[in-house]
Amino acid sequence: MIRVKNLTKQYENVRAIDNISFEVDRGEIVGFLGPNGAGKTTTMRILTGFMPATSGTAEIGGYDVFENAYEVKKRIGYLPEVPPLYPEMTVQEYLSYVATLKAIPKDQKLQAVSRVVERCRLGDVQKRLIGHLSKGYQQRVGLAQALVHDPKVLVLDEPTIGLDPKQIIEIRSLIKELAGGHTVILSTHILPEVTQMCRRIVIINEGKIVAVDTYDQLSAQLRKTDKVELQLRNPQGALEKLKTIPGVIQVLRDDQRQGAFLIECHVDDHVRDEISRVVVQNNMGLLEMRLKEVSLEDVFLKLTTEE
Amino acid sequence: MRNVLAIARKDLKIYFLTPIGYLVITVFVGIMSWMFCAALFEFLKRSQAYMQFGGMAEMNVSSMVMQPVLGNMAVIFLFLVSLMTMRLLAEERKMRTLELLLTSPVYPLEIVLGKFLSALLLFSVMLAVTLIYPLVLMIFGSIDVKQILAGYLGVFLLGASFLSFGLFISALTENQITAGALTFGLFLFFWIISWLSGSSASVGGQLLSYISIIDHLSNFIRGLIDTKDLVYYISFITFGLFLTHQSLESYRWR
Repeated sequence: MIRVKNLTKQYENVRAIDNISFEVDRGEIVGFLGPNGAGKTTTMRILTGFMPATSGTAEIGGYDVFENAYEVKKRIGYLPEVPPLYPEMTVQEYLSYVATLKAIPKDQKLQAVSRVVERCRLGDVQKRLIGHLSKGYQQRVGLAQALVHDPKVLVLDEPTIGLDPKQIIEIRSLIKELAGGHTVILSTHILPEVTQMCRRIVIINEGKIVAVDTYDQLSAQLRKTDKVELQLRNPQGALEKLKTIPGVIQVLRDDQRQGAFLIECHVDDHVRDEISRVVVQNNMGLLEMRLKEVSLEDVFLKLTTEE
Repeated sequence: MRNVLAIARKDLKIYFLTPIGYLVITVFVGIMSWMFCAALFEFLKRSQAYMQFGGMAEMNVSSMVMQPVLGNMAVIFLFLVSLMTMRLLAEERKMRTLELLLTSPVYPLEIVLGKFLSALLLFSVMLAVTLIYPLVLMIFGSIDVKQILAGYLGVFLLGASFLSFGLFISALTENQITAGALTFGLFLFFWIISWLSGSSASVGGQLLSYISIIDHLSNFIRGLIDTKDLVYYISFITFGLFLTHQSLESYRWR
């Protein structure tokens, strides 16, 4: 549905995005993850036809975003980082205006507006002025605006930024409902968000794509070492003994909890096997031993600092 | 075309959702009515004096009252243009709604025309209210309808030229106050140019008078529709709209 090839955007003396390529399938929700200033917004602005790329191509539904901008614009919904609202208008007036701009025929306009009002749960506020709404409602109006013409592709730039936790949950569940019917590409710099909403993740840093994969694949790739958490009843002398086990890279004592250790070792089941044997043979009193999962947080930090 | 009308309707609505629409109409009509009454009383005083001294010919109401009123109308409007155009594009940029317009299936030209049309419609309303003056004059004698309509056409074209340039300036910045101040300053300058041109008959003076946007109005007010003046105003309007369009396009390339 979305095909980006060797896209580059050069501002006067900054290269905002550098030769990026990726593809998104129909009905997929893809997360664009990266720190601020990584080039997420620039990529989205090119995809939506707001501005042209310096080189490379981007296609949406088979149409080139530059050559066939008009056709592309009919098929996408875009929620920019700052939702494009007119505070002087009521929700209903605004959505009906946007519906006209999105080339919805006159006789279907009312229907389209009421459908999107229901979908984004705006029924209670549709007669109120946008300027008087809370940030969470305004964001929902922004989302409604992007959805009013039932676009094939949705581009959402930081859809949860600046909202309170309750509002964030609401917006996330709204977006999750869209999967299947729409192809969604959303950007964020909040890690849990992508794991919750997106099947695939595109990690971008300083204008370059660092990784494109599913969350599971990414974390598997990254497990160059295992981390084992250990809790012992008799920790005396344990540190020295654990360190001598072949395959263990380092052992750290957890100062917060009595008798807790964090062991970093090679990815090999035998090493963990050996650790447990040493612990039991020396009567250290094994209370707990578990393999620590690599969180996406680590993935992200690693990917954006290492490569 | 549908987009042009939708944008025009929305901006016209915003004129009246904010105080600006009411403000410009009130100020414009208030000042113009004051001027009209002043001109009318002056006319009555003079015509009475004229009759006492046994004057025969009836005095021309159209040229004695409507000509100065229409001339002043242009100047008063010059002061109000900046209020009407300053927010049109600057505010869309500031609120990031331009991003919505430029990522919708809407051509930049449609945005420019829609915005221009909204301001032009508001201006037309303001002008339409003043049509009451010639109607009042009909009580005092016959009026020269053609001459007055030509005058109104001139004021309309002049106003449209102001609006098209004001719109362009609004496209240059995202701060409405900056846009307003710049528009006001520029038009004040356009007005003052004509003062200089009046005092010299040299080539330079003629050139200044050609540039001066207000000097082209005088023929219209006297009831003369000259192609030269028509072409001047129409090219002025087109040029302003063209520049607005270019600046919208360039906003995307930046």
